[in-house]
Amino acid sequence: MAKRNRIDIIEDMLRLMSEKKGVKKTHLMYKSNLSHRQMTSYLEELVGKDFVEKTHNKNCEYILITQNGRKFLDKIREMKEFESAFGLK
Amino acid sequence: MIRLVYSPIWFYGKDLVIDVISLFILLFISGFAIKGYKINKNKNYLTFSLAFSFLALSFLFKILTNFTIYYTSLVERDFGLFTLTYQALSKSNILIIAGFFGYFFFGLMGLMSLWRVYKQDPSRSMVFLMTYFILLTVYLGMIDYFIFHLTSLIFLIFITATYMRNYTESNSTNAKLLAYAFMVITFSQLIFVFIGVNSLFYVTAEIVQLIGYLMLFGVFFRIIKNGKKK
Repeated sequence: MAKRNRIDIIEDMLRLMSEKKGVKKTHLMYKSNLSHRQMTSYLEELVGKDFVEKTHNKNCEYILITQNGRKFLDKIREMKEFESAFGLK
Repeated sequence: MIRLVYSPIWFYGKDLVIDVISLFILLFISGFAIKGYKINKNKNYLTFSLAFSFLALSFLFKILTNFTIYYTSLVERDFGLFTLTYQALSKSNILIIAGFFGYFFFGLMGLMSLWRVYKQDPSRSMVFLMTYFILLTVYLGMIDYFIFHLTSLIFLIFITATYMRNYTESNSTNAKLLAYAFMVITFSQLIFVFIGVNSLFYVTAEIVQLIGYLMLFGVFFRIIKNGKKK
């Protein structure tokens, strides 16, 4: 399996969040196959860009994808499709 | 005196419309590649966008030059019973020469840049040599049009072969359609090679080129749609 780049990791994280209404940090960490440090760094970037937001429910922190995040996920998918058709890797 | 016009008079303007459509398609794809570069910082996207921008620029030069020739240099002379319409251009018309230079140079630079995207880091000397040969081709193309189309055809054969290989490796429908679109564009260049024989070759080549670029736009549209569906 090829090594994931930054965009692949962000796509994996946003896709996971788009499939569910809120994801726990630990769940996101395991499903995205990231260390705690890596995930925190990526999450900070995504929150900063308003692609995800944090909410609290019954003392648990959940991460939600925002409308901007969905739009960015669409852009990444279009780009990947473009990359594959034109062989741009 | 060099021959500047290959289009039959009844096709004047129609070929310009075809070229304007092709120009917009190229700009559209170039713009998308730039957006892609902003997201992933992959240099291939930048070269790809540059290639499509060069090709668009080439079309812009072609449109402006042909427009000037068609609509400002047609001279009508009344000879009693009949009117003679003829081209009043000479080789010394610097604007026309500059227009053709831009059309040939950016067209070939665009194709070379697109070819370069798929070559693993070609050396600087290789790129320098290619640019030199492009300038040589442009010079010869100014003397005989067909040299430019022949060189474009050779570049396009290599590019289309790359897209075919990409299709066989990826087995993706979009990659297949893209290879077909480039095959049609390559075929149009083959027809352009013969425009000196008969002006109908020019009309056919322009129409085939339009079909090729519309197919390219169709594939591009499909890619965007598929990306959103995922």
